[in-house]
Amino acid sequence: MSPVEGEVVDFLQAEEKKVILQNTLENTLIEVGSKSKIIDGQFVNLAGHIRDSKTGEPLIGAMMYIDNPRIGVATDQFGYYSINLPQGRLSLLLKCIGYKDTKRPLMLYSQGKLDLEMIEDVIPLKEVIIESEKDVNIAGMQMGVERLDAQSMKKVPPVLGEVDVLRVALTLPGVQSVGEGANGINVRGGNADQNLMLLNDATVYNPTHLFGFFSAFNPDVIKSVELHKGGIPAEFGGRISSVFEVQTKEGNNKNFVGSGGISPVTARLAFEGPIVKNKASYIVGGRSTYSDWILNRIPNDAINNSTASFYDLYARISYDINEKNTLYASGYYSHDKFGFNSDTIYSYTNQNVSLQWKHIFNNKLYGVFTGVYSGYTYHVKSEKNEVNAFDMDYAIKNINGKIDFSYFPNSRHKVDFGISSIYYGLEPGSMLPAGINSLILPKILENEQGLESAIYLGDKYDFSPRFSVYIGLRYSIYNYLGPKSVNQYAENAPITEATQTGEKNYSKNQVIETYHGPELRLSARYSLNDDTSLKLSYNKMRQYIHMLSNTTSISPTDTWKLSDSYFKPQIGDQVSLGLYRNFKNNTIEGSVEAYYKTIANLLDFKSGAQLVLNEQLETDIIGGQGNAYGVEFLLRKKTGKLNGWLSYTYSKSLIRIESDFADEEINNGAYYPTNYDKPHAVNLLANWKFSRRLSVSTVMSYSSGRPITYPIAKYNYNGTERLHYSERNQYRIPDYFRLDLSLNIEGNHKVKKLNHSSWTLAVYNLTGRDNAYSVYFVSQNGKVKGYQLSIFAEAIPTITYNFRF
Amino acid sequence: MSYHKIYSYLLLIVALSGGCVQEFDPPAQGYENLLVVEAFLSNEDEPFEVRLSRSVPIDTSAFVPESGAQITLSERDGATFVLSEKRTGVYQSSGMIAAQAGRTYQLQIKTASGTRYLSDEVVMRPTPAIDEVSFIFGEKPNGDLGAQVYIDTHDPDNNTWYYRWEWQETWEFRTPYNSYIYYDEGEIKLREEDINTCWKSGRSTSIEVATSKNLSSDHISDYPIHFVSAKTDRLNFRYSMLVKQFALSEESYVFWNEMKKFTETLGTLFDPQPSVIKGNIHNVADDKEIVIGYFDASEVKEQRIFIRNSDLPSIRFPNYFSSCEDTIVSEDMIPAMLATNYMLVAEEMDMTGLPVYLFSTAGCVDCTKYGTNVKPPFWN
Repeated sequence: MSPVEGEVVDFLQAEEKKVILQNTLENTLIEVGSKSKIIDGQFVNLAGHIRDSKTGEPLIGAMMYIDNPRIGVATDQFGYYSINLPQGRLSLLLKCIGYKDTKRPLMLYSQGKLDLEMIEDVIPLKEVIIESEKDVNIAGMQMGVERLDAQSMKKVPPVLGEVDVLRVALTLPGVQSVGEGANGINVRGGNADQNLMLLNDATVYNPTHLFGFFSAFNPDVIKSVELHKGGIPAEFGGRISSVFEVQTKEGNNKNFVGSGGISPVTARLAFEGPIVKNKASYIVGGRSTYSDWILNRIPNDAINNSTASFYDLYARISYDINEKNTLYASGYYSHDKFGFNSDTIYSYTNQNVSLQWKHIFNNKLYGVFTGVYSGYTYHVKSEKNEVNAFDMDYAIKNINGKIDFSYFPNSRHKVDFGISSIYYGLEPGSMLPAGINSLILPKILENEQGLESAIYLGDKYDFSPRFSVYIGLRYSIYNYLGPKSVNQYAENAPITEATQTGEKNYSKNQVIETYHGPELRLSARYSLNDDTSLKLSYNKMRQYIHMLSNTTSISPTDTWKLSDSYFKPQIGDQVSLGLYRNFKNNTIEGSVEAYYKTIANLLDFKSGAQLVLNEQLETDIIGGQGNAYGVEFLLRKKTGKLNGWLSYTYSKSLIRIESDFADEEINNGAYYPTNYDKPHAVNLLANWKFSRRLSVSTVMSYSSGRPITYPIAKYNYNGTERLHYSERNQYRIPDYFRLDLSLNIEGNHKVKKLNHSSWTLAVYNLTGRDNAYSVYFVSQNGKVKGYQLSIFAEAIPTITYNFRF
Repeated sequence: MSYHKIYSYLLLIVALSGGCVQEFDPPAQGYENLLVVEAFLSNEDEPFEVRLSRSVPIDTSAFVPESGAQITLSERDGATFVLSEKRTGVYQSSGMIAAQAGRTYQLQIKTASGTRYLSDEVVMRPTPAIDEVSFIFGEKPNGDLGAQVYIDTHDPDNNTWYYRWEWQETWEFRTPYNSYIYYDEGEIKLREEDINTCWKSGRSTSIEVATSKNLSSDHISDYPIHFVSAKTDRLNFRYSMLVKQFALSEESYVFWNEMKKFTETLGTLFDPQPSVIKGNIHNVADDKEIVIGYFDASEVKEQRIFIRNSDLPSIRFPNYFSSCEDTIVSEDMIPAMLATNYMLVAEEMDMTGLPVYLFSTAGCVDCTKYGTNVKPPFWN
């Protein structure tokens, strides 16, 4: 037998074992409850976890349902489900992306617990379709939600060898960025600071590494990513555009395993395994870059004297104390550092710690008690010129305590309710002299404090299998707290340094300003037939913390600012309407979603605003009215040799800054496009599986160029040609187009082989198109020249070696 | 981030990403015709000069002066000076203004079309002396070799905080052939004029401003005002730079700094958005009209440095005349040679004792083709 045949045989043997296991599971009758209690037609509750059969990892979003009557439920973020089912003999159907569809014969006598396991479908060659199955897309309540699992993200062609959740998210309709290598995403015409970036419930303030080339999330520890663009449930609050929720694995509670990868720029490694078999597990992951080493080899003094490095560490422990109690603890730390010419060094870190205790009160009620610490700091150090040497620091920290309950009163209701409170402590900036000869004036901005609290209740109610409604209400209240001295300005005058009248002092914990209001969340679904449904949603969101940036993308020195007497909370209202239709036995999903959004108190800055170490930010920032609308078309094929999606989005994002004072207006108070207004976007993501070991993936991305402020006249001043610019954002840079290709080669499938490996050969920007990141104009030697800056202007090939053991 | 930091940042990103920066000709869009006023009042011993022009579309190279305007400068509680148009678009006072620090001035313009413009009132600011203009010769991080010129200054009264500089450079250069004779109507005459050593000059075109506002005392330390590249002929013999220092008000600093930011230092990932630059000159009848320019008044303080080639390490400086060649002809050939582009350099003897004449092309002999042979008064 040749080695290749051996592999195939091994693989087939493994698959055969799975089939046998599957058959055994599917043919073994499970009995739940005590026989004496059976009353025909009576509904009783069944609850439990659905897990991966091999790793014990809870599965998020796994569907469990019965056909007659049609009742179904999806597991939550803990892999937990609770469902009311009729007593008697049932056939439970289970479905989850990346897992073999399966069924379990069940004899349900009375209320009880049932933990189920599903078998991973490593290579879903055959399209397995359960004829009667109604897809989540049609039957699910949610709209404007995208879930990406780690497995499918790994197929997307990576840039510089790293799988990047933010980049994958950018291929979804309604998600854009201002350009290549730009930090942050813009969801449905919203600013980059309007996304709630959560890593196991902890806010991540700067979600990127290395100028935005990489996301801050290690792909090896991620289980799934969920992005809510609209119809946001009541348990989320604090940001007005989206919720970007990253869930990490709990760790394999059966065996010790590891995974990792090496690419030209980065290396990563993760371990997971049981602490107590089937009860407690851990996962630890880390990443680092050797870009410093590469930089040192570039024959240019300016570059090889520069430094750019990052690393991140993640750890999580999960402990099932008993059937009713589970504890989770996780920590995340990331660090970035870069400097040029050994001159100024910039560094920043994210720090997150979260503790969660999940308690199951009974089958119908469980609660999660969460404590979270999140921090973000940056540091700038310059020592080149002794007289001007300085250390600059910024920090934002928050502590978040929350309790969330999920209650399943009967088969028609699912109720979520809870409370949350976040305490923010902000150190808006300090600049201190470095060294004895420095004349830098020590400047320390006063700390800021804020408390954001909320209470919520949401109820999903099924009127009928065809019609269901979600009603959620969140009430948030925000206090801006002392100690702080607050600048006072003359009334009926523009807020400028010249109109400042004095300061007002507040003592510790004294309430300086309070904002509060209800946030209504509504969704409704109506199924026109088995393949088609209509969904409508409305949500109001309030945001009390804002990122200030007068650059087009997020830069490491952008600062977060709490709402205060001058910075009112941003309030977003979004209505969306969607039509969903599945074709070809649910193998192809189609959807059209339209949305209209208004944002009150959207921030923009006055011309020439200085944001760093500014004691009077209110004189440089102005609140305006935002307006965004669009329509998103999506066609998705989830299974089969060819899978992927194609989307087209038309959207507009506008802002208007009006004031009684001309000085505070931008573009004379007319609506103008935001920096991230890109009306047309087409994205294609496709995977083609040639064989078990070989697959090809491609991403194609097109979008309109982003708006810029363009020079409309030139003149001579002080002996040099100079430019006069248009009103803000009246012109656009050229359109964007990119094609990526990757080839994934799986190692052989010998089951007992210690090392399961795969290679990814990828070419980012295959056509080598030099997409404009920006165009700009510089007067040099008395003449005006136009330049176009492109990032990744060539085809970037990379090779990544991934391994599991 | 200062300019050179941003530049390095850009380099780094481009290097890491395989990115690039390409030059292109920006197409003209949505032209606006605006009045441009260049007016700066100092205590220098010169008439006060105002230049008026119009903005043009960005794809043209025309310069459109604004002619026929009436301009007056008025001193609060003092005299009013009427300017007259000396050249098209250039207006001058008839004598010295004798402007003094602490006095308040205002500029008024009435264009030929009858529109009236008025500047804000500005107080002439006193300017502290420059402490030192210095240079360091070496390699820049990007590998360029040359002399980096720095400025140090401070205000003992801690009252200036905002500074602007201009500079004028002058350098000596020599042609390879020192012609001491010339041919005049059949006669060879001794040349009295030196056409071998000349001087060229230039002036700052970029905006140089700095502030000490974030320091505990009003010091500017090692502000890099200009880099004299060793790739030019400036450092071959002797080079001189005159630096002029002006104190700015906070408002005028903002004006200059924005003009610098929006026209000189763009092109990074983290660019600030450019916008209309606010000056202090307004249309009396229509406050919405944009007028480009800031009328400012400040004392001037100067300092001059010299950089001698002998002070620099002995490296090869560029020789713009490396292709120069000479030809030796007999006397009878002289008129024929002169009919071409050749100039007579020297008289020599051939081996037989007869005079022969050394010629080279005018461009290798006559330095006044490139500069002036009038020795600047400060050149000792």
